[in-house]
Amino acid sequence: MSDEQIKLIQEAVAKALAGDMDMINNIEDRVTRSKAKAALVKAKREAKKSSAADTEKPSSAPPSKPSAGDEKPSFIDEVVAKALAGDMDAINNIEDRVTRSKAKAALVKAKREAKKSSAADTEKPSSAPPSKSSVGDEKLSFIDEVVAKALAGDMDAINNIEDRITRSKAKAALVKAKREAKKAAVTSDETVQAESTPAEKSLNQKVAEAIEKKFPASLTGDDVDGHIQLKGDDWFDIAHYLKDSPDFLFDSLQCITGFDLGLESNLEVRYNLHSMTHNHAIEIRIQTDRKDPKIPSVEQVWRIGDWFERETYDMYGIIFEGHRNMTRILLPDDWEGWPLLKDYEAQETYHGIVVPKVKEGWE
Amino acid sequence: MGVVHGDLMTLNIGPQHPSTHGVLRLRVKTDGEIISEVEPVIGYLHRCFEKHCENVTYEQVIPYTDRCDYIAAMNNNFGYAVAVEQLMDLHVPDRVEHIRVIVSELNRLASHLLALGTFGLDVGAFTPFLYMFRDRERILDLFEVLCGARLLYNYIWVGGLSHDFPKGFEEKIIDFLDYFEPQLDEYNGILTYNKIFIERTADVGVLPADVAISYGVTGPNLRGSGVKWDLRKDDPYSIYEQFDFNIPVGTGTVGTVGDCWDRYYVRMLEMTESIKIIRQAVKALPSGDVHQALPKKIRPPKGSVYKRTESPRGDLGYYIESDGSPVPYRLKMRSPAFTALSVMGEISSGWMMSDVLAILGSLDIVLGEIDR
Repeated sequence: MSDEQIKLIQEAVAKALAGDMDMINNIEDRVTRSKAKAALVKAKREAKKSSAADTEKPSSAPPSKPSAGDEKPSFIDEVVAKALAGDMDAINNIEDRVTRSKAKAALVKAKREAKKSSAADTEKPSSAPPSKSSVGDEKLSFIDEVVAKALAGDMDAINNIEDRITRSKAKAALVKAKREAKKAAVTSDETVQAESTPAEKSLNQKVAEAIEKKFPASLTGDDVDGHIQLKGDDWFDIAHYLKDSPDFLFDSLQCITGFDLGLESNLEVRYNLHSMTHNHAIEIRIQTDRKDPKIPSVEQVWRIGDWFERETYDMYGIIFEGHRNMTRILLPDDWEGWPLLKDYEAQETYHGIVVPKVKEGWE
Repeated sequence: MGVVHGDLMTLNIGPQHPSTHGVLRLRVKTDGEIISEVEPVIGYLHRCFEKHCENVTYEQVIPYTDRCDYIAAMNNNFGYAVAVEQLMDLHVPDRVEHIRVIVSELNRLASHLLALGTFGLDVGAFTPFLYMFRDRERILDLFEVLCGARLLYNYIWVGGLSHDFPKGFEEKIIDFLDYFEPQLDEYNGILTYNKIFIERTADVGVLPADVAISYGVTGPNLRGSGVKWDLRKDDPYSIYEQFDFNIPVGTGTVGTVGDCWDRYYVRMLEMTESIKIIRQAVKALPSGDVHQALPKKIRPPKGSVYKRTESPRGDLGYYIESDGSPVPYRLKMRSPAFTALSVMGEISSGWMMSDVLAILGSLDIVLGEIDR
């Protein structure tokens, strides 16, 4: 080992002990790097011996789920009031399905009552439902009432109706109301799913704001629900920032997924980041041109990026600029084409061996 | 400094070698008997899992997940089913959840037995290998009774299971646990505290916690480095919240935290915890119909999901993108053994040739899952 190397190692270890692992990770020569790391381990162990520090992961309680408790009724009143004022999101964002449908039922009831009182003023409402049958208005409103009660869980109101015809009509109305409620619930479910949970949403927004502040104009689009869409240019620096910033500390790169958005569109790479300290996760997406796919490598930020990026290159041909060993990993080095592209066609022969394309005899 | 460097010699271990646990090739550069560089060469078992998945329906993916990690197929089925169910917002009956936990913890036992047995074999202990395979065979027999297959089960389906427990199966499980629990002491006597074994594994191949996290190493390998991280506790899925169990971590009992022996011993302690979980789940097993929530056709709504579960080897993640059709648009499997093997080059330089095999054995890799 040359003096220069020893000096470099000492310097890197000192920096790493101060918390800056980059210097070690960026040592190009593999042997020197591992020697430096070994020295670091040794230094750490000695430090530990002198002060019996605990190695346990800083415990981080998982975010507690919002529990629906006693405050439910008052909560429902509140969102109904909001919805009446025009803000339907308050209701649609309720996570608990039961509470949500209860709130909706309460909203329907509130609206109907408002209508009734205004109808009483104008004597004959023009917006009254067209009554095909001979059922009087009185009966209709009665049916509405029991249906609302049944929706709130009180089936006795319907079952106790003495008149058989009215009872069956009420039941039919109930089925209809339930079906509509279900439909509404399904659609609102979809929107909720797309928006993801509120906790994650706020994290996404926080991360997006921080990125926008530090690296202006690197976000594409304002939509940060579920994932954050970035431009590739500053990705290496952004990745460093996300890993080191004390608010986020995304120290673990969970997964890199290559993605073909379609024959006419771009390729995309999706990064799932996770923080062991804060126990939170985000998804970053970066698009790149299909003809000339290039994205900065984050192999030196998270070391697992090395193999994940090689795998993505192997399957999609996306070149990660700055990667120190951009070669195929699962397929042989002289394989042609990028298999997970949607327009991939396997080569005819490989080293004189015919590549089978037609599945014969087993399907 | 008076260090003499010899010429580096390149040595190939594998792809066909009993110690590589499958078709793995290690390109090793040695300086005398000291390792200066190890580069794993993978891909010999690549079967285009992800390309297959884009061409078959969601139901048909499940047998392919079996064949990824063939040592712990139940856990692979489980992870996939959980991911698709999250995408579909599907809730399964309580009995199904309990049975899933029972079979995947049984499979964890089987997987750890294989891992520890072959690890012992790698460092020259032949007898414990036979003991552990004898007991693993009992678990495989149980699975054979359950679904007819010893290794590739296709048992956990999206929304349910392929079969309910056969009659009297719960008693069979409890009988097995009663037999198995004392065996752990026997393993400890014959292998864990064996002097030769400790000499070969303690202080060898130390994996520091920050390196492990940077390399995405998870599961028992990460816990061996002293990091208390287990998805069953930290990001609970299914019904793991209901059970009382501990997360063992490496403490450097006979050497340094994060050495081969710690990785070994964490698995040993985990088996006790798995037994605890199975006993609780069998006791609380509710009755009911396991086919009740099985969807007739699986067509998840448009969207994507990334879901991780704790397989015996670590975080098993599935990234699934659905375009609303019965066929996945994109399915990516993040396999724990892939990340575990990537750290191999980092921690094995500077050790002797024979230590490399000890390190490889302690990482517990399955090539089917790495190459996919």
